[in-house]
Amino acid sequence: MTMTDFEQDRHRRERGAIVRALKQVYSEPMTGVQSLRSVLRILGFALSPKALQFHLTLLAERGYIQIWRADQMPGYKDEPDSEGAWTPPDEIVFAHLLSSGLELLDREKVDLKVTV
Amino acid sequence: MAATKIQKLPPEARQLIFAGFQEGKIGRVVYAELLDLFGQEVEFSQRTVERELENLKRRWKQRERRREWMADLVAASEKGNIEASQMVKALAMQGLESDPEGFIESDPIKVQALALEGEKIRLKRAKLEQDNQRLALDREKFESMKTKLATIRKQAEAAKEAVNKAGESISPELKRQLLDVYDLTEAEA
Repeated sequence: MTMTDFEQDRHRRERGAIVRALKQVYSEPMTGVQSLRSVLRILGFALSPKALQFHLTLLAERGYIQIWRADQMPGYKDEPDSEGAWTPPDEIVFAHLLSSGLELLDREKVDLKVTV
Repeated sequence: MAATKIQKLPPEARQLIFAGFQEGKIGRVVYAELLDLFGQEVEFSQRTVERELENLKRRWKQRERRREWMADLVAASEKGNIEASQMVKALAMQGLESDPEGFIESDPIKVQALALEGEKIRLKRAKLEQDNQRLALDREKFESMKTKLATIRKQAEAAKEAVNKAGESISPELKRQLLDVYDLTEAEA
């Protein structure tokens, strides 16, 4: 197994962990991304914010999860404050597992990009 | 590591820095106050205090901005935006998870009970104030009526005297009119 293979495998497992973590809160209409990150840390996946955003985008594009970005929140302002702090409009802030994501966990579907 | 030194200070010293920030004091003044009160325990320079004040200012502004955002979100949810209310809920859960100590220390049920108790006291106080105002108003009315009565009595006395003094010099018609004005009977006159 090359380094790239090893990395790819790790990413697939991280995505699987995200799906699994979101299943725990499936009854909730949405979950905060920071909550998700702390659950993943407990599960042993210490993802950087950037890596988590990447995985969430990929999972959403493949139709397993629904995501909400910062600019979808009422009251969002697309401008830095006087101190330069700013939440980018495309930052994913909430996520929710969709039924096709559940199918992955139930092995009714296989995706080589996600190891559950 | 400067922040650590500040954090090592007793809570009173940190409160003093925070109070200085709230009052818009400059670093030099806050540092002088710290030296006055804690002397040897202050193991850092004026610049450290200045940096701490700048940090506080920055964090406070960010906090304000987030509060405004949250207020808009809550307002949208109160107007019936279901997605906004779900976001509020998700953020509340996130807050609970990220600051469990804060939530344990301020048990939500206790906080709610405390808020209700506070509201009860506030209502009681408002009612007491209203009662006092009503009493003061009644007292004022009573005093005013007493003064009015005294004036009427005086006028009646004066009229009685005038009628008596005038005797036959005034016409019976005028006398009757005078008695009518002051609500007196012939016998009282």
